[in-house]
Amino acid sequence: MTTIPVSNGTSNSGSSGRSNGTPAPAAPRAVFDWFSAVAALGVVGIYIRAIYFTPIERLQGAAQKIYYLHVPAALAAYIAISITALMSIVYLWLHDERADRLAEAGAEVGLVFLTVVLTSGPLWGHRIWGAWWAWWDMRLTLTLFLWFIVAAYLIVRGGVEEAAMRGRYSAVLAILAALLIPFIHLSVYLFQARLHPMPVVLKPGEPSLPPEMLTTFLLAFAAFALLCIAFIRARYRVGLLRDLAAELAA
Amino acid sequence: MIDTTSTYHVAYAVVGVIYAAYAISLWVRARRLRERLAAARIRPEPRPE
Amino acid sequence: MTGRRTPGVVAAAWLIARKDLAIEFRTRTAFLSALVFAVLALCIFYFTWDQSVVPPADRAPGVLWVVLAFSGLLGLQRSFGVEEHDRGIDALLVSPIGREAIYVGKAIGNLVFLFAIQLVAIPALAIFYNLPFGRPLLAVGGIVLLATIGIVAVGTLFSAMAVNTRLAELLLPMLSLPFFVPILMTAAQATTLVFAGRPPAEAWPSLKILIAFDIVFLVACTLAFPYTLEE
Repeated sequence: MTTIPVSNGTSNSGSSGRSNGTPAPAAPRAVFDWFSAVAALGVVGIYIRAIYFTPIERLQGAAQKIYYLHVPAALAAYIAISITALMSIVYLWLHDERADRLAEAGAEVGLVFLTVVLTSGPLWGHRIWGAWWAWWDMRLTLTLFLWFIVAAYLIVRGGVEEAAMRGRYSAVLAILAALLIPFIHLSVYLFQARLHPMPVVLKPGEPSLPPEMLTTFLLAFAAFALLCIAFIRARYRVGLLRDLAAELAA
Repeated sequence: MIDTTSTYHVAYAVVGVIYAAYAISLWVRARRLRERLAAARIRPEPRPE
Repeated sequence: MTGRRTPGVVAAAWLIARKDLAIEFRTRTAFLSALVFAVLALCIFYFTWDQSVVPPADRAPGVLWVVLAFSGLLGLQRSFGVEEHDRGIDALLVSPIGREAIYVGKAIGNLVFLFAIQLVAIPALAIFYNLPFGRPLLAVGGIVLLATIGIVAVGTLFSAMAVNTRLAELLLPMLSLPFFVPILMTAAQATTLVFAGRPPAEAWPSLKILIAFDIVFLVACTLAFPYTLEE
């Protein structure tokens, strides 16, 4: 890889950013469609089920119900961020602006879900651990650094005017960030292994979860995964509208 | 059993607000862009060159 | 350059590094300001802790790594900023030099720049925080060497990216610091162990992460660099 790969199409132009030969896509009719409606209903359903139809845990009391929002949000964030990483590789490979828009959508939606993880986590920790923040909790610490990286990614996107360059810069950044995450994981692990034993509270795998709680959990996973996809679809359309508007203005 | 109801209420409210705010922000951005797009289409600019 | 043979990657990288260092040696502005910043920060941090609670020797590693990270950013900032002036980068791009060689050359220049700052900052730390000179300080030098390679590997790439954005100098710290997290965490930990007089084997896990980081990001950033230039 010594030269800059030129997209393998007919006529190439680095400046327009449009993948070659494809006609300009039509403006999407609405950002939210039936899929978003299903996802929104699912989330409302999960709120109702978690609040009114799920038993209260004996040890932690009602605060345990925060899990139903916290853990699925983390899962959704990972889905969104994986899409960004994957689409960044696709973009560098094919120079298709659709991949770039999808990567952008994934990052922004990922940031929203990470924000949910980072607000619900300390709220729970404040009551159950007695501390807002616990640096020795690997997952929370990793999530925080991930938040910073995704935020930096979005700021870079906002700072580059030209579409093709923005795509390349952000794709490079996303791929480097994917390489960085294992290193942060290792160093945080090394840091906390010297100071603290692993937290007992968050030991994964509670085998004897009552069936009502388990059902709520699984439904919550499904609902927030749907919400994640609905957000990404909507954000993709916003990106498409922006690109179309920029093209008309040019 | 400690009473942690208030914490859970706050958490559910905050998370709901975050999701709703993001959905609204998407909607607002889309509407603004669509207006810009419509304005650019109605008033075709004089041909360049 | 007409009539001459195109230089190989190593020779070209060396040319670029020499050019940058020559500019730096003649003007010395960036170097002096980064150096003054580093020593000044060392002194100011001395007063940010209560001495009766945390003895100076205990906070020396933390202070050292904060100062090295930020003075390093000052050096990296200049790396491509100097090319932006008069569009020197365009001259580099049309020259018959591989784009990887530009990256490697810039990285070597930055490495020398940062080493020069550290060569003054580390003894200054030892003096101001009353640390023993000798073996422990030499071991810290080794850790600093490994960490600086990692800092320069990612920092050089981000410096090239930052100058082409609207945010310019604001962007570099925001991009670089998350990538410095594993470097600073492991290096500070290894430094703490060295100053505490623990056996070197205890610092080995940290050093392994540092070495792996250096290798992975030197390769990844060299491959990624051509994508950050204008086509």
